[in-house]
Amino acid sequence: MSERGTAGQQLERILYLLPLASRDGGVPLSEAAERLGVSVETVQRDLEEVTSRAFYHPAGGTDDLQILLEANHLKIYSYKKFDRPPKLSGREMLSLAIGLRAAAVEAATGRASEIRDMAHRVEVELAVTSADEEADRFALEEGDGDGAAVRALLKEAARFHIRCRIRYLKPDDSEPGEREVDPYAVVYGSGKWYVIGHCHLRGDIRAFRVDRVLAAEAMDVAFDVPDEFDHAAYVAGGRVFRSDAEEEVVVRYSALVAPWVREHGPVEELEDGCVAVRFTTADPGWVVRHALQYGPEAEVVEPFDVREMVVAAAVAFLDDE
Amino acid sequence: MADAISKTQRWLDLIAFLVGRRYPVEVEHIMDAVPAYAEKYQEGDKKARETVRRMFERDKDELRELGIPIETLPKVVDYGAEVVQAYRIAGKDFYLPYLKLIGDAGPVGPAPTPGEEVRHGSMVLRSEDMAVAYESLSTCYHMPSFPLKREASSALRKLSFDLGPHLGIVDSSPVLYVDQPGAEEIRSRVRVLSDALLARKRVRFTYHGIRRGEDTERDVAPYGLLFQRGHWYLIGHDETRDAERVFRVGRMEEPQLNTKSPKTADYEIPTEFSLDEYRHRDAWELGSDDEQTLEAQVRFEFPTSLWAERNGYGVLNEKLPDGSQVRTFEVRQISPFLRWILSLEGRARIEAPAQLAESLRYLAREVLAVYEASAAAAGTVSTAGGGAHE
Repeated sequence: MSERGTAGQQLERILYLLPLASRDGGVPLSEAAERLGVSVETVQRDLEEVTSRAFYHPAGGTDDLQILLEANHLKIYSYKKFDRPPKLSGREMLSLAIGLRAAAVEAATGRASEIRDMAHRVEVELAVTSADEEADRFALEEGDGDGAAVRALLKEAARFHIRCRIRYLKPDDSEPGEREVDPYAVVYGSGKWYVIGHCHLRGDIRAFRVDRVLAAEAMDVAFDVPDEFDHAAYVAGGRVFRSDAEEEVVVRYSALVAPWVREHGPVEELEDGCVAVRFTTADPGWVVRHALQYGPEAEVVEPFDVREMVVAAAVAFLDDE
Repeated sequence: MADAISKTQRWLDLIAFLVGRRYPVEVEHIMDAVPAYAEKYQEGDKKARETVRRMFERDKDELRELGIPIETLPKVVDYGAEVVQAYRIAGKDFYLPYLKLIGDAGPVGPAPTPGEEVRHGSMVLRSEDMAVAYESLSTCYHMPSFPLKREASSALRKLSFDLGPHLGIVDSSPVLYVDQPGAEEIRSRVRVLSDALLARKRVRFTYHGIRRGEDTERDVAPYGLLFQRGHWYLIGHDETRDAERVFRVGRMEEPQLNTKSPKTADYEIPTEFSLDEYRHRDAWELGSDDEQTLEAQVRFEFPTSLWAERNGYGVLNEKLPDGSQVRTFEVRQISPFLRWILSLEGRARIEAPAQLAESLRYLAREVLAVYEASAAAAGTVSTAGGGAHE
């Protein structure tokens, strides 16, 4: 479908554009386009729909809309008509209600009830119809286990550029370590949350799994995100990478589990319905744990040292024999 | 001949004609006044007039669907001789009230003039509440394959109307959702399913049953949509199996909404149904409620015990002096549970029941057998194998 979309989408844009341009000083077309998330050309075409229409004039006198377009600046004079956007539609309210419910689940107990009260007020005052009941038909489970408070703090710290002190547990460490981190981005990928940021212990950018952040506190220190930071450099194929020092690990999966593996991304098809996946990772331990989750249905093919890690992990369950 | 009047223009004219009216307008009047109707209605024969009337009925329904609050009210005409249906859009139902923020933080937009406020009303929100509302909509917008993405965006636009130009969807937000490959395709499926759910219409689709490797045709009454661990799931009543089932949207092909009698619901969602029961389930907790559960005691060594506690895995049973913890699990699916414990590389062990602990050791031996077999085939010798842990 083209950017113009359906008549409903165009109407929605026009009913926002008219009040926007009716305000004192009007609006530059570029700003209108940015707010509407479309190109300037689409805004111009939307405008043509308005200018070529013929209103009925209840008062019989002046036109109820006067449109002035000068040097890409739009100003509309309206006579008490279309000078405000419409209220939230049922589906707009529904999306807000679903989001607020998810936010309430994440929030601390007291705050959760405040959010629910606010959702109710918004619904009564700003929406055309109630979304309350339908919102219960949708659930967004963003979390990877408990620890919503840690997640919320890290998100806020990333938004407001506040350095954090975190208690982080690497799987192989004998105890959790304290680190100071400037959280540049909090990223959700493959069902897990990660913090990508500058680790002051390592003096470099690192990705941390949020479910391994046992505790976090905001410090009284602000930071700047370097211009060259791009979270995309740490994300590929729907996965988040832990750092840029990478190693290739090949895992072979049996025909029994191959259908599940194929769902997650590209695979190499092998004989007898088996498949192989080449992972590029800075943390071979991750691949070890991943392979073990498939039991005997997955095998690390190479490199040799990662195979050894799997064997050692399996042996660990037998050493009391 | 003048260009044909577009649907958008027709709708806009109809809204403009009805909005802010104190008294409702009867259909005849609308037919005369809205240009797109009038040009056919005034000159056409009876059949053409009926066509235009039907067009108005459809427009009215579609606009209501889009959230335009067109009211139907009775109106007395002909000096009391007849009561007919009439229409209007009340300004108070149509226009968004002014949003005003209180509190220190948060940008407050230019205060509306008192006259405007009286006409449309206003709503005062704390700036931190507004921040939560923005964030909630932004989350919905960015969440992979969220079905109401467009609506989340337009809602955010409306809420930010009074509050400055930079409060729309912020693409530079540091909280990001990574789209999985194929996210757009999933979104269009979730959209069909959510449309079906909201209208209570059944859906048909081909389902790739991954466990049995079979494709089956399903006819499902949707009860709920759940986003969990990066995937969308449909929970509904499977008509062919006459049972409540969970379907992963990624394993569906082209879900089709039942288009017969679009205004009539196909089913009702049972009052006892609760989507919450499907939340926060780990792989070993899935399965139907009538399946037997097994209570397992797992000892997590320090510091993995801290990780288990932080993420709420199982329920704490005992904290030991060395910092390890014994935690209790209700297990419905044994295999995923054992494999999960296996992936913890010996940092967690099953203490009870003994048979489950033995099953775990059996699984570990199976893994070793795989590595030994391939090493033997390749002629390499494992240094850590053979049970000789350092």
